[in-house]
Amino acid sequence: MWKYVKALEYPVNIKKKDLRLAKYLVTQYGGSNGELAAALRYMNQRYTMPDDKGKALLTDIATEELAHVEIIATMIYQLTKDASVKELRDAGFDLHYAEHGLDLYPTDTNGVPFTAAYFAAVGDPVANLSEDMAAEQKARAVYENLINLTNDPDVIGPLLFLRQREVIHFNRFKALYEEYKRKGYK
Amino acid sequence: MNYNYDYGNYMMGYPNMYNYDNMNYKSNKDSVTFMEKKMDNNLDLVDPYVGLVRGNLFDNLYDPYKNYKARDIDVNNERDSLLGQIQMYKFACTELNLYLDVYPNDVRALQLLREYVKEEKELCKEYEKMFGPLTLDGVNGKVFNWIDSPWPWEVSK
Repeated sequence: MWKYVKALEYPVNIKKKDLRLAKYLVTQYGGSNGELAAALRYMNQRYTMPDDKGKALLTDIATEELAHVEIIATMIYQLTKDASVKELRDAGFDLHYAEHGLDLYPTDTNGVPFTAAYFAAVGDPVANLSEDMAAEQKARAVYENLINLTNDPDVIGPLLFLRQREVIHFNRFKALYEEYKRKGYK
Repeated sequence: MNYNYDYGNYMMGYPNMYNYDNMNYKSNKDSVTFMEKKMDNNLDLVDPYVGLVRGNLFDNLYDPYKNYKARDIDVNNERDSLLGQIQMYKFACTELNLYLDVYPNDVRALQLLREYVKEEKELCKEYEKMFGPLTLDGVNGKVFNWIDSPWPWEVSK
């Protein structure tokens, strides 16, 4: 069961509309290394974790990833709010607009819709945790690319926060991975 | 690129808030909790405010990107300010939760988690009295104020 808290994990207040930036950020919403993929990946893998530490860690990181989905979605919403058709056209956001208006939609930067194919579950906790560690590293790298693409401090703040979360999650997964290797879990 | 952020604008008028001093990341909070932290290898913590702005409560795991510095939280009004304090304790709890998942026998981390949960609960009560519910448990008053704006994705002015 989950309970909604009417607050973001980290505050987002973007004052400057930037449709081009929204086009980049959407990949962390619906792309292969995005927050939605992370949340569902861990949520799906947690059921068959071999011990209580694994069940807890996958549940709790998956839950935090849902809060990150909300942060990224908030950023996209604020970057695109009240955009005019001319602004949409100028930024190349008209392709999104034609199909979705100003609604959010989980895709990668090329408009490829989110798919469950972005994560795996292979029935082996050590292999699953390796995938999770790689996913955190890839997401960290994508956040760095995104930070390089903007100079708006209102955007950089939350991106730095989200990037740092990938670092922590990677380290927690790594500790569990090493313990499982030692214990010979398969 | 080096962005120099303004560190001075956070929590004006809130005497209990920490000052985020760019030159000194380590907490200036004078408490037993923080004096003890060095005794544990894995539990090398910064204070909850620094933790939130960094996105990382664990000093030994902090991995900054290029020369970007953690940025003070944007505070536009009293509501933001109180919510910011809640966010920082909630975040500290999240961090300790994930840590304890992997190191459940660390009694110091557990003690700190309890302390932060307590702080967070008290701040939530105070917030809900002034600004309405954060969860359904906090619905108060004669009207159903759960539906009231601002919702979390709306820009705070």
